[in-house]
Amino acid sequence: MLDEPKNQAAGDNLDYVRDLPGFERGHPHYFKDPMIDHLLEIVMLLGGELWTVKDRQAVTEHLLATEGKVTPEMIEQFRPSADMKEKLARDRQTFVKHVYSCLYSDRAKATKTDYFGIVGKGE
Amino acid sequence: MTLSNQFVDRGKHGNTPAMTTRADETFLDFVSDMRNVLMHAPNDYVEEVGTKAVETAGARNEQWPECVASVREALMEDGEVSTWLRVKRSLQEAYWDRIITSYGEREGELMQRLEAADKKGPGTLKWDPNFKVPEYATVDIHIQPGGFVHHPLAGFHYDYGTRVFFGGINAGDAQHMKMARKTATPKDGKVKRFLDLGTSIGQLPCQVKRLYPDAEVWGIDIGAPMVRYAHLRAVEQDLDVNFAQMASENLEFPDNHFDVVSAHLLFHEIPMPIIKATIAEAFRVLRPGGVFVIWDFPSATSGNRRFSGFMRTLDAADNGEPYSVEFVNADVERLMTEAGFKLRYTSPEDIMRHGRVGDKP
Repeated sequence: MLDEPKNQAAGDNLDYVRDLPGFERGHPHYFKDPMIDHLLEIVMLLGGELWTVKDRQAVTEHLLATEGKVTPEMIEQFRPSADMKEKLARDRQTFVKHVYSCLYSDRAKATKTDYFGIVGKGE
Repeated sequence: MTLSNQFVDRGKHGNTPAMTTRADETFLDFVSDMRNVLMHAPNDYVEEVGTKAVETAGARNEQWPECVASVREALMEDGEVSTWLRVKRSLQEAYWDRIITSYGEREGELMQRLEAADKKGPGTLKWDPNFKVPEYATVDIHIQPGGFVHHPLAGFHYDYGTRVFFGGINAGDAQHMKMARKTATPKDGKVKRFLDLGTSIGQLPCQVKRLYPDAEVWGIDIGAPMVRYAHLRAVEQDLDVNFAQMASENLEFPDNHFDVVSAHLLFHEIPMPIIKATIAEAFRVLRPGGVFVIWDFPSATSGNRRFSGFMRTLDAADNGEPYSVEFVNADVERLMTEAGFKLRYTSPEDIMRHGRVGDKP
């Protein structure tokens, strides 16, 4: 039931879009010395890699305790119980707060906001 | 079961295919938590301190390169604001990078899934390998590499990326179900044909179909990878939803055809001439008595600093949303009225609660 497009004129006068910041992805930095940007990024990425190791260790220990053996396939197929999933999430959040909360002053650690908390408010 | 000689099938999370390895998934869980703790939590403080820094420096919050440069310079004076901005950008780059690499490990298998679903129902799919994507739509939206149009797995990337972005609150597309329920219907209550513009991976129309199982439901998007993945997702949920690659400013539907047209988070991603043309097209394809619902950012005049001031200026520049500044500064309600719509709501509070709702007389 699709028709031919009718609004052929749309799309005129759009040359300006190329000049808008954000049209190209870019590589912004936020500190006067971009090396600080790089170092902060490295620290965050290392935290993520360390967490994956901690998670793998937890899964390995769990499998050894419950199955008596562990293989790479068992780790990939492992589905934690609701309790274990919750514990891993709690440990991960504690890890993040413990390692990174010093980045902000106490005043900065304020309220949580998200998109759905603003648009569609009143639910 | 193995997907290839290398990888174990790790199943799905709700409607979203799991990462290829547990390590990838675990890394992304970490990124999601980092966003919650280091980005969302100090949001209000950063808005307050950053706004003062920009005002003190006399920088102009406008969408042009020289203004963005002066805003950046002003914000570099505050270490916490700089840290917040760095955290936001780096975590976003990190999750796209990990998602694309992880799905990329089994690109062949995922492409086969798309190709197999292309030919399946219950819903229909239309896309054109020769579709000429307008330049405005080639942006890396949300700095997703390739945006919505270039990478054939863009729909997969977007799905997992928004899973990280929402930090767990949209599991099972729960938020889209809320939006579907809140989306206004015509005053006569008739919802037989529903169209979602800029549907991305089709989460809203799929939930609309659950609410109105007898309705003919469509989702259109300018990106072929998005509508192909939206179709795959709908097929896997056995939902009869139709998807088509189409520009919202150039709809291939008859006049007076739909009861409801929606646009969820489309308008801040398209430039002003396209916004105007899209509103005109929505008016054309709606039947008299039909309703147009725009769910999107509040206007800058609403006073919400997250959607105005330096937060918007820098988000537009660094989050691949170059048109969002002109959107929040536009009088969208006036544009709807000029196109012929009669507005149901006019106060900022009502608009945030119900969306921008226009009835076609």
